Amino acid sequence: MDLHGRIEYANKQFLQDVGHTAPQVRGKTPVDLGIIGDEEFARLKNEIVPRLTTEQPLANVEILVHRQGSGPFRVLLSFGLLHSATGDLQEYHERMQDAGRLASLGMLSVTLAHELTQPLSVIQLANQTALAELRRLGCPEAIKQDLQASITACAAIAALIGRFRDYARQSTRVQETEVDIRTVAEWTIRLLEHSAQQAKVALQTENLDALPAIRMRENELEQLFLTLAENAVQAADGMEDHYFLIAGALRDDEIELRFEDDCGGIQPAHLPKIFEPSSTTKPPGKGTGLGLCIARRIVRERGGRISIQNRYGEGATFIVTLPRY
Amino acid sequence: MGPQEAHVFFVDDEPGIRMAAQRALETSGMHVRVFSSGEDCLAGLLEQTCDVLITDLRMEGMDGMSLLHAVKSRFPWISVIVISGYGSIPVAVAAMKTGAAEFLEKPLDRQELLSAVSRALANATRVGPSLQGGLSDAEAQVLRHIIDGRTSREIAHALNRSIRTVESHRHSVMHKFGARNVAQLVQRAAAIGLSKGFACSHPSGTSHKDPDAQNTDTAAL
Repeated sequence: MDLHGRIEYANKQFLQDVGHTAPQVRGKTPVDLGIIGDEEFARLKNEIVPRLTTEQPLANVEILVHRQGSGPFRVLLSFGLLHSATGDLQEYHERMQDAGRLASLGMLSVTLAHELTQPLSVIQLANQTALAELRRLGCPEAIKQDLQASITACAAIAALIGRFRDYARQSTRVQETEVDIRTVAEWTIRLLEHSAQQAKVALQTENLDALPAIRMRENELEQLFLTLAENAVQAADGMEDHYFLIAGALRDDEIELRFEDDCGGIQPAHLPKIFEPSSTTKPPGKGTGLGLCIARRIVRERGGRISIQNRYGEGATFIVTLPRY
Repeated sequence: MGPQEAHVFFVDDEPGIRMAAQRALETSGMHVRVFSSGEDCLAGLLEQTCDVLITDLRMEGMDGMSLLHAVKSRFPWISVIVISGYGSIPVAVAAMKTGAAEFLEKPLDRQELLSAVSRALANATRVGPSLQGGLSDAEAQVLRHIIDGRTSREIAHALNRSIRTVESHRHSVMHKFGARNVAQLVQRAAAIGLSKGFACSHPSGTSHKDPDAQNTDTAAL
C-alpha cells in the first residue's frame, strides 16, 4: 500500500480471502473495498504507520478484517515499511525481504510449537512416571507435591502451545488451494532479485511449467522456496558468479523439486543437525536457525520428504518430494 | 490380555523420548522394546513377539506412516498406535485409514499413553509361533484376496502372476495359519481380526508400494 492506504500489489491468497481480482483492488484502499472499517483504518494510518521508521520498519498488528460473504475475523498483520523517505530502490528490496521474513512469523510459531512438544514430552512423562513410582514405593508427601506441581506446569505449557499453534494457524490463513509451483518460484525470485544480484547468484528455474498444480497452503510453499533460496544466496560470497536452480519433475504421483546451488555446500560437521531447530551457520543476529526446520515441517506435514545431497566446497542440492494429492 | 503380559514395541528417533516412554510403560508392568528406526523395528518383529506397536509419525529414514503400512500388511494382528506432533486432522485421518488403532498427540501424557495401550491390547490377538515371522508382502496380498473371496485364477489375474505362484503363496499362508483348507484359513484370519476388506490403502491412495525401497540414493537427514 502507499501511505494513503491505496493498494499497489496484493498476492493471490489476499485476493482470494477478500474476494476480488488484482485490477479491482489496485489503487483502492481497504476501506473502499470494505475489507476494514473506517475506525480500524484510521488506527492504522494514525497510530501504526507513523511508528514505522527505517530503524524499526516492522510491526505486528491485530486487526479486524471483513471477508466477502462471511463475518469479520481477527488477523495478525505484519506491517513493513517498504519505501524510505528517499525512495531508495535498494532499501525497497531489503524491506520487501524483511517483510517476507516477518510474514513467516506464523510459520515460525507453528514450527516452534511443534518442536517444543518434543522436550516437553520427556519432561511430562518422566515426572508422571516418577510420581507414580513414588506413590507405589512410598515417599514424603512434600516430594510428591513437588512432582505434582511440575506436572501441572507441564500441562499449562502444553495448553499454551496448543493455543499458540491454533492462533498462528488461523492468522496465516490456512486455506488450501491449487497452487501453481512456477508462480511461487517466480514470486520467490522476484523477492530475492536484488540480494541475489548483489551476491552474484543467478536464480533459475527448470521444467516447473510441466508440473501439475499442487493442493496445499500457498504461503507454506512460498516459505519453503524462500528459505531454500535465501540460504543459497546468503552462502554465496559475492565474488564469483553462482547459481541457484529450482527444477521440477513429476514421478508417478509425486512431485520432485530439486533446489541446486554451487554456493559452497555445507560443512560435513554441520550436516547431521542441519534440519534441527537452532542449528545455524550464519553469524549471530542473522537468521533464527529455524529456516530448514520450518521447511522440513512444511514438507512432512504435506506428506513429503526432504533430503540434502551435499558437495562440500562446491554446493548443495535439496530434494523435496511431495505427494501430488 | 492385561498389561502385565503385554509386549510393546516403541519406535522414536529421539533417545530422550524412547527412554521416557519405556520407563512409563515398564512401570506399568509391560515388556518394552525400543527402536530408533522403522527398519530396526521391522527386524525386531521377526525375532520377538509384539502385541502393540507404538510409533512416532515423523522420523528420519522410514517414517511412521510407512512403518504403519508395513506392519498392518505383514503383521496385521499387531495393534499399532501412532503419535504425532502436528495435531492436524488430515494426518490423523490418514493414519486411521491406514489401520492405526489409536492416535496420540504430543506432548505425551503417561495416563493417555497407558489408556491407549490398554484399549489397543483389548483388540490384540497373540498368534502362534508359525506366524512369528509375519507374512511376506506377496503372502499378505494373496491372503487379502482370499479373504475377499477370490479364486486363485482371479487373484493371479489381479496380481499379474501365474496361478502356480499364487497357489504357492496360498499354500505357505495356510501353513503359517495352520489351516487345512481355505475355509479354515478365512476363519482363523477372522479370529485375529482380519475380515473382508481389512486391506488398508496406502496413504497416497495408489497401490501398495514396498515401504523398504529407498527412493533417494543419498541418505535423508
